[in-house]
Amino acid sequence: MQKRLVRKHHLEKKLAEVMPHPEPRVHLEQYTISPEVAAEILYLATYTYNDIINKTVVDLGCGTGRLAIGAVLLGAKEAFGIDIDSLAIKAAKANARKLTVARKTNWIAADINAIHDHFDTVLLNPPFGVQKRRADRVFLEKSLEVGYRIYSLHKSGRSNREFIKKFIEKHDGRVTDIFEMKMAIPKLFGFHTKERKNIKVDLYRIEGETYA
Amino acid sequence: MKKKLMDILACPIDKYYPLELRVFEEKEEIIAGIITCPKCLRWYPIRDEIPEMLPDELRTEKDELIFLRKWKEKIPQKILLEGKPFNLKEKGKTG
Repeated sequence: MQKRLVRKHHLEKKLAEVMPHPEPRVHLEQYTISPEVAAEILYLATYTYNDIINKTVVDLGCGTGRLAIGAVLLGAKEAFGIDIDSLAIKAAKANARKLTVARKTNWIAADINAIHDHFDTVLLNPPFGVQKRRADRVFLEKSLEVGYRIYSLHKSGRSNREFIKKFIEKHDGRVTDIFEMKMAIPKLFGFHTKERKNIKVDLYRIEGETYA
Repeated sequence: MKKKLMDILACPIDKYYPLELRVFEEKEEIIAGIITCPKCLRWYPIRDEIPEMLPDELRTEKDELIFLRKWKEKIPQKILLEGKPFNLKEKGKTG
């Protein structure tokens, strides 16, 4: 196991400085992952699996950059954030400057098909497909195309789990672990009637095969 | 945008790479420039250091024409006249 150079509560505090989207839009399911969940994912990837330190990391659908910035704070060689929303990318770039990781981060306002290369690690908090069915699968497929190790969040539930596992296998990936997590999603995104609600999500760790 | 980013970029429309880069303004990073796909002739702006490689339907014609006119001295004629999804051909070169 890697020596823990960054304390978890310190990482959470840093990640809380990453500003969320100024004008989230429902159809893109733009909510910002909480500092706690982001720290939990990054901590697992870094210290349990050694998938972050000195690695190239890409965050597909990065929003305002919390996961990509966190990866660099934990020792990633370089991080790339890509999002189809230019406004979110502008915010991500400003966040990277604020947290002094601009030199090691790259931001692209683009469709995820604008990248073709291979990356050590893909971080993925895709739209859950509530507003747009199958949206998460497009992200997953691209991850399996470009990534060696993939961390992907999906709505929990047994049938969804079966489906996602099969989908990953079909695209030459292998699920090594699933972690249950709770995420607070704002009302805006149509899951429920309360202001915010904790929903159960599954974090998948996936090994891709396309990387030599 | 860092120049090295070109290594990983592909045209999101036809997946072609490598793409071509022209830099208009540069400090530590590229501030303004244009990325072009030699295959489909699509062009993508770099504005305020950010490369924008969006699908056609998410691009605003008015803003894109402003960009083309602003940098027309530094953009190849082929892109100015035949570039996709917007070009200056029908609009008249000087606008």
